[in-house]
Amino acid sequence: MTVLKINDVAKDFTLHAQDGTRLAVFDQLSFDLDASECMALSGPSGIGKSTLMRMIYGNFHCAQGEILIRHQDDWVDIVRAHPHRILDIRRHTLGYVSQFLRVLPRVPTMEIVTEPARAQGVGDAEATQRAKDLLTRLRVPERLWSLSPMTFSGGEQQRINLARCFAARYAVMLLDEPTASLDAENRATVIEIIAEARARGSAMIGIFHDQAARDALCTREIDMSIYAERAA
Amino acid sequence: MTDAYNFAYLDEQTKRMIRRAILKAVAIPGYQVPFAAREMPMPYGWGTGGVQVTAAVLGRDDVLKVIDQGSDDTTNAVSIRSFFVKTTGVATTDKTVDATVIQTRHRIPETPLTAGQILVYQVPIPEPLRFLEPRETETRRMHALEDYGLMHVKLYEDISKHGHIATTYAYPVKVNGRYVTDPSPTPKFDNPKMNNSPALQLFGAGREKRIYAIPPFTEVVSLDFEDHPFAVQTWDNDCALCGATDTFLDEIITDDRGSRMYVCSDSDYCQDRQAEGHQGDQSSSGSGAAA
Amino acid sequence: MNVSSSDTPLLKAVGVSKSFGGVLGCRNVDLDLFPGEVLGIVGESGSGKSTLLRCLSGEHEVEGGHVHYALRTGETADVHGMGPAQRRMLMRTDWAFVHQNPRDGLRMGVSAGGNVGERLMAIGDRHYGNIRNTAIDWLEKVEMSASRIDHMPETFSGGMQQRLQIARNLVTRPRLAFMDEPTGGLDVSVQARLLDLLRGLVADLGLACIIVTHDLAVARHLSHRLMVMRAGEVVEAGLTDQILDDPQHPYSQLLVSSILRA
Repeated sequence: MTVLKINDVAKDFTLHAQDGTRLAVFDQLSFDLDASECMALSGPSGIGKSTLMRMIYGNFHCAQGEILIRHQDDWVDIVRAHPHRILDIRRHTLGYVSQFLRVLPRVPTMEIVTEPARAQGVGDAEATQRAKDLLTRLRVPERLWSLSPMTFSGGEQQRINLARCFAARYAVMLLDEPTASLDAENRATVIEIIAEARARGSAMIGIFHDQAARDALCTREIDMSIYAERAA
Repeated sequence: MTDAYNFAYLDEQTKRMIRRAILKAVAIPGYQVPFAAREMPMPYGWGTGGVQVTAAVLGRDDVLKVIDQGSDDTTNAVSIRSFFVKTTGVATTDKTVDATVIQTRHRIPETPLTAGQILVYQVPIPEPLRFLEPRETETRRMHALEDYGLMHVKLYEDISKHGHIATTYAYPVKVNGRYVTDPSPTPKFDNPKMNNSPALQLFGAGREKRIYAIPPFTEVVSLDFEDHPFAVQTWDNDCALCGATDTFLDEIITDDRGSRMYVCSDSDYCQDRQAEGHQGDQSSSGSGAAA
Repeated sequence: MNVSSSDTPLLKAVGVSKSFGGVLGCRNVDLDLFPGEVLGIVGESGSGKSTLLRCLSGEHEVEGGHVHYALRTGETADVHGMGPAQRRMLMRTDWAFVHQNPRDGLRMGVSAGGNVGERLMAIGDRHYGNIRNTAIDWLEKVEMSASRIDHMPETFSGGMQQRLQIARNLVTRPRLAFMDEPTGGLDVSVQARLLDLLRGLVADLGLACIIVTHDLAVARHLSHRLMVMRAGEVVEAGLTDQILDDPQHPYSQLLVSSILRA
């Protein structure tokens, strides 16, 4: 079942403050993504991998093409949807695993991790159970769960971020180097967790600089430099 | 009576203007009607509003009683009474039951009023919301929209400060289920007398140029909280002169060694009771207070 | 932040325009606000943000367009067509208005408890004990000690006064809050605490908010969606993160690039 369709998408940045300089990133990009697929975006830095993921998430503006996502049995075009709809899609259908945890001061770890699941309507007990399982598997010590992650190490914050995103269940997930800055043990665990989500039917698009993770997880690969050339 | 003035001092056009304001006030119980108050030959604060209302309603056959703090013989009462004697020649009385028009400052007589009587109050500040909301534009809007939460805020503040509602005079009332109204600085002791009174109650504020009214047999409810209900003042003493147990008492210092007595503030009522043979614990001493 | 997925806007504005004696306030503004959603209005001073806010809340008459509000009853009310009594009723039950200067939103001569209790009394609460308990409850919600309940706002710091103003507004559990630079006059640490508090309350109460601010960090922290205003017009509107991370309009780009880090 197809869950995401990218149709003839292009991206450029216009820098109005710098004499309207136009930076073309990519052009004529199209692909479909099915449930349980995991697609790696490849190509050198600056080629537009993160940019594409952020466009799919609605975080970056898209001036040309369609980004269609299957949301609760409807096809919704992220490019043209009302922001209110996009927020709903982000809550229920589309997850984004960034490299960094956006830390809210004073909010305890446990609350941060359970929040997306609760927003999907998962009960407190179930959300807490999922959070405990994931935090335990990702080796975040239990004594930290009641504290704000504000002062935790980068690696701890990254694992909390992963626990947060995988405690909720999304049909489509965007993964921005999910295994970066992790040690070998945790890297293996994250690969397991992602594989489990795929087995449940989640479709993935990701940036994996870690070759082992890419080999373990990805079913497809798309070379972004092709589309960057079309824009040049 | 002197011919140097028109009857009741004011010219007829002015009296008509005031009567129109009074009619409007009667038609909208508790609503403050603006009127073009005149300069009167007495200072603001001495009852210029009440005097204008009295002048507008007084006829040649009326019998006038004037009281100040319940008493007929205090300065303010004496001077206003002589003002009307001079400018109208109407009969005056100390007896509540004989009066047709009673002008009052700070009290409602203890003797129940009857149908046909008019009670005219002298009012310094007619706006019950004034000390909470200084803007006249805003208080008018609050009245118009029946936005009276603020009035209860004042009572709330009282309880939070004193443990009970400490407002003892000018205690706000709701008239005819609509307008929150200031009963003028009468003690809250008198508030229940305003409710369903057979007499017409008129209020005049000269400096503030407002007239308002409570028509006969109109519901007047003192604001309160369910768990802090309205209650009138009570005294440990009875009236030292007439022995009354249910009147508003004044405390009178009788010497410089701290001796004091409590007597009815309504001197007419007190004398009537003494004439009927009622006695307080100091009445045999022949105190001058009853003279 | 919980946003209900309801498809009926709580507040809907179409073509709202307002000028003051020929001087433009705002022109042709459209917006939809959904239950539980936080909308930030950003732009420099004089761009018409506060004017728009006052047009939306009915405080200003509009010259063009209309604003509709979905009442609890399911009916829709024209904010500028309703009588002043109904608007005032909304203002003390269903709506909140938080001013930048707490002095504009508080009764400075009334204790903290009286300030919080006023709305309750305005809608007919007549039990002193209950009013007081609710006031204590709300003081605690905005992280103030219950022991301050009888103190005058004058004795509070600016941050506390602002929190008191928020408690006073939210005590009737409104569905829509208008906030005009709610963190404006506060120093940075106090501001951060207030933002967290607001964020929590908004989520807990499912409150929809329109927040006017010139501070993009505040906008990012609190709002789901943003409108960028310039010279009375909306030049760009959309998801907060999209506008801050990939602004399209030259003015939005200038605004975003002018700050150190949002």
